[in-house]
Amino acid sequence: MSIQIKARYNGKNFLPLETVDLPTDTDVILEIKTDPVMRLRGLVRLENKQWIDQIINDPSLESY
Amino acid sequence: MAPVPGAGSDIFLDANIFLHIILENPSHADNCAALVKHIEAGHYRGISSIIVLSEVFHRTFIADVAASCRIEPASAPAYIKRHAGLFQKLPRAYESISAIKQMHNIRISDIFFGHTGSCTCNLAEIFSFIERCSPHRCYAGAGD
Repeated sequence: MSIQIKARYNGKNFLPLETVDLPTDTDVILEIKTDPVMRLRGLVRLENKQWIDQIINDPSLESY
Repeated sequence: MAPVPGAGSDIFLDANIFLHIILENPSHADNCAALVKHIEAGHYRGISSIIVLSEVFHRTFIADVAASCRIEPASAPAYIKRHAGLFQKLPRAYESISAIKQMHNIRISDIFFGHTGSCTCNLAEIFSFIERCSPHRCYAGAGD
C-alpha cells in the first residue's frame, strides 16, 4: 500500500499535515520530495489509465 | 542536461504540460518534466497564465476525487458540488499550485484580468489568488 501525504520539516521531525487511517505505531517509509518537478510527478495516481487522457483533454471538464 | 535547439526562447506552458507530470502520463510525463527542468535551468523562459494555473488546480482536483472516491472523472464536478468537504480532505490540487509556485523562471501573464504581454504578476500573487477562492466560489457554478 502506498499513501502520499504532505508533511512539514521543523528542523528535527516531520509534522504530518494530513491524517491517515493507520494503526498507532505502524512503521512507514518516507520518500522526501523537495524539487518542484519531483513534487508534481505522480502527485495523483490513477489506476484507470484511460482516465489520465480524459482528465487532461476532455473539454467538458474545463473549469470555465 | 544538454542545451536544446532554440535555447533562450519564450515557451508558453499550457495546463497539459503540468497535468502530464502530475498524473504521470506514461507517454508524455518524462518529456514534460524535462521541458520544465530546462526552463528552471534557464535554457528557456517559461510563460503561463493564471487561467492555466486555475485549470491545473481544477483538473488535479478532479483527478484526486476520481482516484480517492473511485468515481468517473465526468461525474466528479457534480460529486464535488455535493461534497464540498472534499477540499479539506484532498489537498493535492493545492499542492500542485504550491509546487509550481516554487519553480524558477516561469512568468505568469495576468490575462485573466484583460491584460496580455507585458503585464505580469508573480507566482505569490497567483497562489494568493487561488487560496482566496473558496471551494464554494470555485465550484458553485451556474445552475446551483
